[in-house]
Amino acid sequence: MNDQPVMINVTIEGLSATLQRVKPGKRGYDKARKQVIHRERDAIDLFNRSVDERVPLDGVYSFESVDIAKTFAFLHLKSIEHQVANNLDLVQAYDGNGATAG
Amino acid sequence: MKLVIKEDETMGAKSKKRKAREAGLEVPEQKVPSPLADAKAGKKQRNRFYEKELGGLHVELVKLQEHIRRDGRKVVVIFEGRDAAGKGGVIKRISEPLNPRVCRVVALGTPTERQKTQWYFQRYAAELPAAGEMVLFDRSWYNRAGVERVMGFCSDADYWDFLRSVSEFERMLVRSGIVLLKYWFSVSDEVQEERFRDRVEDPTKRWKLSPMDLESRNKWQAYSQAKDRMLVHTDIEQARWYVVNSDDKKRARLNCIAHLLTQVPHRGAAPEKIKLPKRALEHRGPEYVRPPLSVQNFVPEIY
Repeated sequence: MNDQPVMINVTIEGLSATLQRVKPGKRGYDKARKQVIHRERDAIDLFNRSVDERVPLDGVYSFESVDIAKTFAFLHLKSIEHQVANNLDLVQAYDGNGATAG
Repeated sequence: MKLVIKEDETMGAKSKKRKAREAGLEVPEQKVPSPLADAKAGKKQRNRFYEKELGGLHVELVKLQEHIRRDGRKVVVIFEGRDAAGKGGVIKRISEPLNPRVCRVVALGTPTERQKTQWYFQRYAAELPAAGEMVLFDRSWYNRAGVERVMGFCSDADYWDFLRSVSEFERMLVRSGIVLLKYWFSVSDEVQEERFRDRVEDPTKRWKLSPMDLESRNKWQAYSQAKDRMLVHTDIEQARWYVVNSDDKKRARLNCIAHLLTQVPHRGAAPEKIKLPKRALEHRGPEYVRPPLSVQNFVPEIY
């Protein structure tokens, strides 16, 4: 019996995030296993660092748990949503008097 | 976005602060020399200081209340944290000097079967403030990201849907003119255990302990993870999370109230002085004769 855990890869490309299950023995499994992020704390820290340093997250990240993978993908997508929502607030509040809005 | 005060060499510290406050900018608060933070301070000294500070903060809370009432502001304050973290204590200290018509405490119980079929935020939305009101939520819609998740009371899909929707829900509240403040009361494992023991031993506090609290004690780590995820997902510019270190209850109360007061500017909003006018002479006119006391049911005076 193969007791190696299934990996969940998160691929971030610009505005999108894709989740993909990688079973043991399948292509890309060993690579995913090598770079796996085990703890949610580390996934959150990685996301926060990319925000602080303004470095795009684009790339493939591997996780052992669906929850952690979803958290990571969610954080990325929600941060885009927050930027859009904040931009919308500025546009909505614009009364034409300032030079720019948003 | 944090606003900063533009430095001006010619300005003194006081005028800098005043100008910043007038411009609605964030002013870093100075630390108060506090016996509560001094391990050498005696219990009496600590209590005296606490009572004095709390009294001062109560006066400020009344000013805040006046500002909310007069200007028709709408304020929502959310208190979240583990069991025995001290949420109830701070809510009590905030609401005690205030008019219950202005400041209302909302602590919703388990949803009914009907409510379970409604939109998740519906029963909370019904409690939101009208103009001139402040609502203190003793636990809130964040139940879904905490206790419900950890204890398995909601499905995985419900949980992720909550994380997806909550920021938009809160943004809508803020856009509608509500000031939304969110406090997380952080208590250590040891202190929580101590407080649980205290609740078990003290018959007046025993009601605070539910079987659910006892069960959740065993899920410390799961709660920690749920909390971390919740804070990182839902800390938005429009409604920030503020963490209150609540291992020391009294310090936590003072720190939280002091912070709350800085979040809603209310300078000069004290209720206007009233001169009690002389009573008109006819208030004791001959037409009224008090009925005999024997016809009324008095409470026995046993003290």
